Amino acid sequence: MLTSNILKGVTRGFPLKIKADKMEHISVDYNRDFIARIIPRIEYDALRAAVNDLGLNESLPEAMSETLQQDDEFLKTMHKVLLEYEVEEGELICPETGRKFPISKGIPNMLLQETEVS
Amino acid sequence: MFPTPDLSHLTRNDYNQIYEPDADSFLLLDALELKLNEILEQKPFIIFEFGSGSGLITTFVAKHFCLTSCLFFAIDINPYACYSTKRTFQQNNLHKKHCLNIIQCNLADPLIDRLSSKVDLILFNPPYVPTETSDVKEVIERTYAGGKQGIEVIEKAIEQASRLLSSKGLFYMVALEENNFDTLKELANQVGLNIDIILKRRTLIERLFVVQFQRK
Repeated sequence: MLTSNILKGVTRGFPLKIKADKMEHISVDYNRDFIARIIPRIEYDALRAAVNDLGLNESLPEAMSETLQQDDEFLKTMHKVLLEYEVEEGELICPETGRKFPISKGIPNMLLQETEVS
Repeated sequence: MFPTPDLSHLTRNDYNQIYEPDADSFLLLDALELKLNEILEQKPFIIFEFGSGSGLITTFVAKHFCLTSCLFFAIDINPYACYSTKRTFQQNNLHKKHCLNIIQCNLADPLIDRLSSKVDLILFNPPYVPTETSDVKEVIERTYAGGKQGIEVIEKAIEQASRLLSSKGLFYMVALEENNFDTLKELANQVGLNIDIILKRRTLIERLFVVQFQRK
């Protein structure tokens, strides 16, 4: 799920960069209320960066205004971007330390090694 | 009584790697059912399960406690459990309606800041068996090894829950009599949470109970 991009890896490393070796496109029922509810909780810039990292052919406006949050076309694009693209295999990369968190079968492994626990 | 989610896709082979739902799992389901109205009233939107194992609890909640689409986070340190949770969610056809994010990690470690005060419902069937330490090597041991008094992991979960819970958020957890309710109450109070026993059950070998935590 693209929403996993809004996770935080280490103390200050946000957002994580995404590198995808295998992407999947899945079909999820569009639910306007769900998207409208989720959008305010998303770091929009981080999402745009993710879409860019992954080279998705989706154009997201530079900023997300109040009016845009009501716009059906925008909401449908957000639905597609947030829910219908899945990174099956790849990595999340901390922008601060370069630490890589592998993604396998759509599940990121964010377990810290003993040496990384402060 | 709500039917148990379909687990027919999981085999003996899977249960060698992940926790096979047992009396404690079903006690949690029963406790949640008891609290159905209270939970529905909160209209939970963001739901978090610590140690999802087979995915039974997350799937059950998605199926019966969410009238609209919700955002789920299910974590486990065991990668087989993570994958099993994904399969169980799909087997019960919930992946088209809800958004489930599965992460292999230790409790809410990578999410604690971003989800601070945002989680409406937290679920946990913890490793609660008193053992010498909870830091055990075998993956299957980690499903039950609770360390001293069986509460090493529970203590951390309670502390994290106090940061994750939204103002009206609810946290349900299974515990064993040996975990000592008074200790749990002490831990809850230390982080500003109220605790109540919701349900108790005695099996042949264990005395289990389910507690509910919420902000004071």
